[in-house]
Amino acid sequence: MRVFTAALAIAAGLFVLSGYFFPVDQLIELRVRLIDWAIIIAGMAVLIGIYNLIAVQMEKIRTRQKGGMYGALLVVALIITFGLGLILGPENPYMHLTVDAIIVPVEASLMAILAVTLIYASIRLLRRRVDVTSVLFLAVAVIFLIAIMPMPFAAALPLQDFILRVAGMFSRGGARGLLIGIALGTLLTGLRVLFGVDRPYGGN
Amino acid sequence: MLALGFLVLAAVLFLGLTFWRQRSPASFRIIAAYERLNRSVGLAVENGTRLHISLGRGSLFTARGGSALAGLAMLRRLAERTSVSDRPPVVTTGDASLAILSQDTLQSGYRAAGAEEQYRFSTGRLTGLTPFSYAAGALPTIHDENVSANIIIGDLGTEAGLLAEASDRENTNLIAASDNLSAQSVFYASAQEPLIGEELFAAGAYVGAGASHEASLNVQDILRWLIILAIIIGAGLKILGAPI
Amino acid sequence: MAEIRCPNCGKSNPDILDICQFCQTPLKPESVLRIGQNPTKKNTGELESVLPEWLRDVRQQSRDSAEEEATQAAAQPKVQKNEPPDLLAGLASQAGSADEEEVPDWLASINPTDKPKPTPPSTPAPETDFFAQFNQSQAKPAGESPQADVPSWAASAASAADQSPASGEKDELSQWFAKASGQPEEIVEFDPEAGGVSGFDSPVAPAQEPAPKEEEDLSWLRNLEEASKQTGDLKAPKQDRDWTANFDMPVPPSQPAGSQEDLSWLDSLGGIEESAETPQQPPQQPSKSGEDLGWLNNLGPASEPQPFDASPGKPISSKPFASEEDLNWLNSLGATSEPPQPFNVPVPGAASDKPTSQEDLSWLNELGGKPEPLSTPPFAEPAPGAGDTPRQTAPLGQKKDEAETPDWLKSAAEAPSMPAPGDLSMDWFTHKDQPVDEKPVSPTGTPPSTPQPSPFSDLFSTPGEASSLSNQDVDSLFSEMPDWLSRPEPETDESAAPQAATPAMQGEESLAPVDLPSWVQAMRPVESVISETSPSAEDQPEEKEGPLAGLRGVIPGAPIGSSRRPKTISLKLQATDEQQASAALLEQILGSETSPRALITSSSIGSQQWLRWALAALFLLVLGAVIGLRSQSMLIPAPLEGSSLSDAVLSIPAGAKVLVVIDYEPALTGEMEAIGGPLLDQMVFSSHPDLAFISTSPNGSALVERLMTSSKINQPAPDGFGYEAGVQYLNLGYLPGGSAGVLGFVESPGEIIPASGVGALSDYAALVVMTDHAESGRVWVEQLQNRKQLDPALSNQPLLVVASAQAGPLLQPYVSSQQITGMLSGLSEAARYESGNNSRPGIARSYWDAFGIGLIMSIALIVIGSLWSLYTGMRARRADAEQG
Repeated sequence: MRVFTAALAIAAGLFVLSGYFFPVDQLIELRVRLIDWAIIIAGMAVLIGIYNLIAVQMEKIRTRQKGGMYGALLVVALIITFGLGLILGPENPYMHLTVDAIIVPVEASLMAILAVTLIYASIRLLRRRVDVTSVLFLAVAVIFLIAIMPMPFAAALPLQDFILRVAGMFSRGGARGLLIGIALGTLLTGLRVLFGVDRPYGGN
Repeated sequence: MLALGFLVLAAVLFLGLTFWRQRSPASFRIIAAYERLNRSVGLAVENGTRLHISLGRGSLFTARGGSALAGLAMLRRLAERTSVSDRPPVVTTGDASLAILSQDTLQSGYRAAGAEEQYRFSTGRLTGLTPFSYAAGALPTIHDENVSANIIIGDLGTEAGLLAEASDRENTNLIAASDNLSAQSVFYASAQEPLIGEELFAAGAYVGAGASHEASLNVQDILRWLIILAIIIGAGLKILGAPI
Repeated sequence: MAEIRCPNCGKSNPDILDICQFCQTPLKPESVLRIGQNPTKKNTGELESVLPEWLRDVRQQSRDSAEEEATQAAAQPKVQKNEPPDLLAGLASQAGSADEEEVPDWLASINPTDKPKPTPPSTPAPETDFFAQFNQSQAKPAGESPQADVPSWAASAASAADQSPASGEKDELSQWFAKASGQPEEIVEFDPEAGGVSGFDSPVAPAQEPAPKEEEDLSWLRNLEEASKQTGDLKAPKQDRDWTANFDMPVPPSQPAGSQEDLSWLDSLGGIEESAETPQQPPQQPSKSGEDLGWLNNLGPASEPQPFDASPGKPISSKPFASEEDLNWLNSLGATSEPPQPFNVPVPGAASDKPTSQEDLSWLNELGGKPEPLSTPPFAEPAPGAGDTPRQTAPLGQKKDEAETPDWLKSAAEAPSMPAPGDLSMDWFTHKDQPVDEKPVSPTGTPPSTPQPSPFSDLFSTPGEASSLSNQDVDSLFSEMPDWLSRPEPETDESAAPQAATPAMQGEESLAPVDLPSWVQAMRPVESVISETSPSAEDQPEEKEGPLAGLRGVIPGAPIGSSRRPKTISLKLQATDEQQASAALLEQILGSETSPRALITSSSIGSQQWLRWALAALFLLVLGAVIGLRSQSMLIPAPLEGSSLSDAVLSIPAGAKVLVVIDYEPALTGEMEAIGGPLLDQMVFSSHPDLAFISTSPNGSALVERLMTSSKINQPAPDGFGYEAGVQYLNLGYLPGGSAGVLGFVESPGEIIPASGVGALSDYAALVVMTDHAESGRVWVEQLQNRKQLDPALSNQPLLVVASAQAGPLLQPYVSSQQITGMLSGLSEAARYESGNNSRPGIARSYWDAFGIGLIMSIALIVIGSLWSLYTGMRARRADAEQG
């Protein structure tokens, strides 16, 4: 069974990759078909994931673990939202109200907490480790904050544009290098899956 | 065709170096984060605590899936090593497909260690479908489930700051890596030993996933140098006015 | 005669026999006890069939010698209960051996310097008696005697062996030893006062000096002669050649291991020597050389070397000793106990040399006499009034001639830690509580009592029976040489302190402090370590009576009670101060490991929580106040002139379709709405396009209405543009598949999403991508770029990107490469763009002051906090470094 799954995965990957590089109608058709199937499976995977979420929270409730009440609240909210969505439809104003009143504020609050967390982490950075890179990191961060900061006494400073241009050049270059490295890593990871070396689908 | 040629070159180098590494294992530079990782795994097994492994929210349909696969490769090894622990590791993800794969990977790791009966489906969890909901859902795992080390490897954004802050509050070890630059900056300020850039994809080689992972790092190095040469040559030609 | 075939060996045996004469297997089944049968009480003598052959020979010899001695030693005191084995019977067999090298060490070490003392009249030993042969050997040329340390009896045995075929005698001696070693049931009890078996534990120490064997063979006899001529006090025996010295120190291995080894066991017997001379012993082997029987020289001053019968079974001709006082102890030995035979002690082959004075060995003749049951306990003092009655088994009288005292007797003078081997008989236990002084000593010269069937009857013999040892017994004793007997003893000369010549095994049943084997030495406790150097003989009390009379140090001078009790071994370690200090340190270390150590917990957790709360509170208060007050004091930079974004928006035809991609998460809704609002407002204001919203994330489609509301596009006029859902703007929903889905939509949007109402992507006049992460924007850029190469109609389609502040820098290269027509990134650019759009819708402007103040606070907090953290960190590290 493990060999069959590996063979199937390798074959599907090769067909999709070939469909991208070789404009053969059959390959393109096969690629589209395979991608469609993958999209369907991914969609079903979302439902499975939601079931897993419910099961984990129910397990936590059943075993009376810490935070079980929040798990119960999550499950109840999920069921209500899912039911309303099935009944009312996603374009129903009440559904929009749910999104506007619950989802967006909650995540926005988390984002705000993140801002405080990042400031706190920046403050504690030199306490955790003191080296050149840490000081440089903080210095560049402060410089960029100053560059984009609205000036209370002036509309904008020429220095800000200069900073953004010069510092941005280095930061963008470094970011580009990191992204190239990440892309290479992604490429080799895909090759490992394509050759069957890595089988995250349980074949290892 | 350039892309196809580049892909074929990468494939050939990968196969050749994999066979070579099987005979001659490579020695890589010491990465403090992975040293801390190996030690944290051992301590977790010894003192009966668990590991929290977060694979991010990278979808396999996007390029972010590569970091997710790298995280799964590392998860496979960690699952095998921690199978003897009293508390199995917990895996949290922000993508449904990734959650299913993490469960399968855990099960295969226990099976390889001969402890398949130790697997529990609840150890592989989908904590949220959005980045911040995923991070928020992973916070109780860090706070309440006796976690001694948090290993965050995958596609995460700025929401990784919440996970890092929770790890810091619990005084646990944090080994974090992401293919997202924003997350990398957050990890650099929060984690004890951050992993920057493509060090994420070296996780497999440093946890002993096999010769193929070591060969992948060598291929990356070769290709990087080729790209550097191409950039320099292209920039030079562009400066010289060549029609590129 | 009918014959019975043996079931074991298969040989024919006469039917009158119950056991096979070849393999000693019972021939008749009824003699075998089967399961379920009640054991029938049998005489132990009937069990002889299971004994080894050599042991049976010894027993037979003993019986024969006992019968002979009974007739000869009727007047002798019967102190021996058990039939002593003819340990020296084997000597007779070796008497004829011309191989002087086989002279046992114990014989070789005996220096016959003691003058023979007048021995008590003893019945002449039978011909088969071990000691009888000494009488014969006395007639040999005297020239041979000074050359050997072999006692006269041994020499006589050798001479007797010479008379007989040498090989046969040699064989007899060997056989005697072999039999003697295999007869454990015959206990030869000792009179502890006669010397005990102090030297029995130690390996036999043959003579130290490898002197000419002929000289050493008879030296002991000479000693006996000299001892007998003295007053009766045995002088200190010779150190070099005294056989008793062999018990104190091991004989160096350099000594010839010839005949000395054969009889060297006798050196260590101490009180056993007397038993070895009892008739119960296996046939004594004749000394092949004078060295073998040298020990006997020192048995007693009054003792005369008695010839021992080299041939097993041949009784040793008894000949009274010249000086009976010296040999009285032997009499007591033979009368009290049967020497045990734990080491398969065959009497070492006695030297074949002739004794110097045969008259000194007269007691030996009595050793082979009929064994008598022990009438007195072993090691018992000689009965009062016994006086100097010579004992048959006491070659040495009770004279305290230290010069004549054998080495084994010296060790016997010390307090023994264990009973003498002679006490191993049952009688020893019955007399255990009796003090030493109270122990009756068999009168010297008393023939041994009838033998008792005890396990150790072979090893010890009463002095009285010594003379009755048959040659066969001697041979059987010497037939099997025990290892400790054959092993050269590394005995030093110093320990061979001259002991009293009195061989009397008087006093306590103590063992002489002989050299212990290495393994025994390793077991000794610290405090109870017996000093290597045996106590000097001068320190030991001199024996006053008994066979050891006149000897010093033969029996340790410890009370009988203490000698019986095992020495208390102190378990306290003798540790030096340094060792104790080290032990205390180790204990402290171990104790510290188990004791809980106070963990140094950092107080960073508390301060971290307070700092977080403080930061959060500060931002909430300040920014909340700014927003609540609707402050717009902070200036907005001038709008961007001639931006390509504005030009692209203005170039959209009126009423055209525009695709808007919503790829941001709900968490960044505020920022994205603030950035995208001005762009959409200007687009709708200028072109009134039909908007189609699509999202590659599941949450994006839910944010469309919020965007339209916040940008006031779907608000009714005059506040908004009055766009209606499904009319002017359409929500296409979620586009799955990530980049693959985008590719499919780009290629054929009508097929992927039929509700889009378009056949191709080129039907859209513009494409607006609103994303909070660069990946999404990159995907759209890359797919569109590929499609533009295939579809020229897409070449003029502008791609507008609205990115968050974190995604903008990563998408800037695409702007530079003109793959992206225009991009708004961050609130600052949005505010500038909005200011150029007549501040419509005004979301960015409302956030501008709070955004500015928040940034200022962030910068200040980061700078000040980092400096403070740097200072505290350095201080903490300095404190940690000082603490070490």
